[in-house]
Amino acid sequence: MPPNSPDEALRLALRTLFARAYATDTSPIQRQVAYKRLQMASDDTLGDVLLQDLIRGSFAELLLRAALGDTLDALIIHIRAGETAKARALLEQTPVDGAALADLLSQDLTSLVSNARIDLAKRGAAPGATADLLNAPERRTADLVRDILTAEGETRAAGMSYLRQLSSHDAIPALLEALNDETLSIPARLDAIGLLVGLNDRSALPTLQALARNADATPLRGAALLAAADINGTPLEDALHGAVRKWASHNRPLARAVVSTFGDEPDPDTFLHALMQPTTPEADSRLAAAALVMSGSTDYALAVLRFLNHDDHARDRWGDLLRWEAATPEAHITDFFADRLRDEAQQARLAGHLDDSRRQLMNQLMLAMVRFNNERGKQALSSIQNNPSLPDDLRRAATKAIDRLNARKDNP
Amino acid sequence: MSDPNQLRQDLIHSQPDVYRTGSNDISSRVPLAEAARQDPHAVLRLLLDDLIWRVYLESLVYQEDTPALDQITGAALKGDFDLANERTRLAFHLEQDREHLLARVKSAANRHLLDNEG
Repeated sequence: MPPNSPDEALRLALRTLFARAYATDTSPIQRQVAYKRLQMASDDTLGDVLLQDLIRGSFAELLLRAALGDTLDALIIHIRAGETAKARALLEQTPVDGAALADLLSQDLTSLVSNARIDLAKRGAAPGATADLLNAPERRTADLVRDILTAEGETRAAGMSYLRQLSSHDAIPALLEALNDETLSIPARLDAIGLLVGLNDRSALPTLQALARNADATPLRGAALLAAADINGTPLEDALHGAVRKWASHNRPLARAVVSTFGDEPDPDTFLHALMQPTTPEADSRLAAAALVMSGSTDYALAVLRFLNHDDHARDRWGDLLRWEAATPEAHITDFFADRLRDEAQQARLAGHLDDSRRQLMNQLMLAMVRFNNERGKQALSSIQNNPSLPDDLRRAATKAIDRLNARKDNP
Repeated sequence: MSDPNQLRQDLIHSQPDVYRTGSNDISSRVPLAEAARQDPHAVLRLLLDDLIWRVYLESLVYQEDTPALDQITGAALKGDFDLANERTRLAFHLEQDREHLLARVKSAANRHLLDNEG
């Protein structure tokens, strides 16, 4: 789960750096990201986090002393020896009276606090280094960006979160390098484009515009086109008009359909319908569909989803489109929607309410998750189902979608 | 089984009251107490996590500054968080030498790696 505040992010970074000793293993990328985050933290934030954690630890010691007595001494000896697993095992074996612990937590702890002896550790200077990555020379940001773009799962999520916090000065050269790296997968390069859009720095424009003209992969051309338009301040519709003008030379019916769609009142459903016509050359549909999906526009995403969920013909046609470049576009596109569902849920949680358009989009996304029937979709649905800050009806819809997926699993 | 995430939130929220001497507001600790009745080891595990973490943080403090940790805790116990914050900055040499603090984070992490892997 992404951190909710700078303090939480920093605490996570510190703990990640200690993670192998503290609780669980971490990947080298995660620790690189954590170290970078630590470097970026202000003195004020760092001081607050250190203080809060010291106080929390002291509180924990007071309560453990009261609950466990001398067993606490044995726990501390294990911890200081780096034997946290033994400390945890000892704790599990130690009988504890739940009612007594509850009473302890329920009483005024003033007297307990005033009588407690805070036994603080005295640790000497650290001995030499290990071959661990932490002690390796600082890596180039471009290498770190590349590793993050090719990582998977939580490591990737944590890395992307870190990259979004980088300044333009640090990030743009590294992202442009990734963008031009043809050994990277298309989804990885698309993510680099997305990050560049977030930075909104015009120095990225020449590379994006060149990519929009020359990239071999259709989704890259579409995404680069839209990214350049976004950074340039060109309305999305105008960017698509630009594309249409190019298509007009060889596909006049499509060009007419698209241009008529973007009249006084842009109607993404109509636009998409035109794209899905069997007479529309597939290559043109691919470019436009990729542009729609990658645009980040709620209206367009919703339009694509409506077709996916309710129009059999469009669905079949879309299925063809999804088999874009022979790499893994289908997985990418379905993962894109799953991630979008998570993002929308997160935004709704942060906003503290759910407006109608977001509710509509999330419902459509949940339907799509049932149709896609993949693991990331299930995870996205579960995160909604288990998020008490989201409205009950939305959580019920997620539960229903999961039930449908499970029923499908039982009766394939 | 108690929800560990909720328990952690309860624990975090209960913390300030404990450290304000004379405070009788225990309402924020009630959920934690209820959890302790049902699953005391779940609460103890969270407390142990925080204790382990504090021990590691202590390893970042210069040896000659270790007494400052007593001052930090003492100030916090009295509810003087401004003083505690100031002492924390001094103990970690936060404003004097950021690079050394970062180096200590690395060294301490590596030392624990050695401990665990040894």
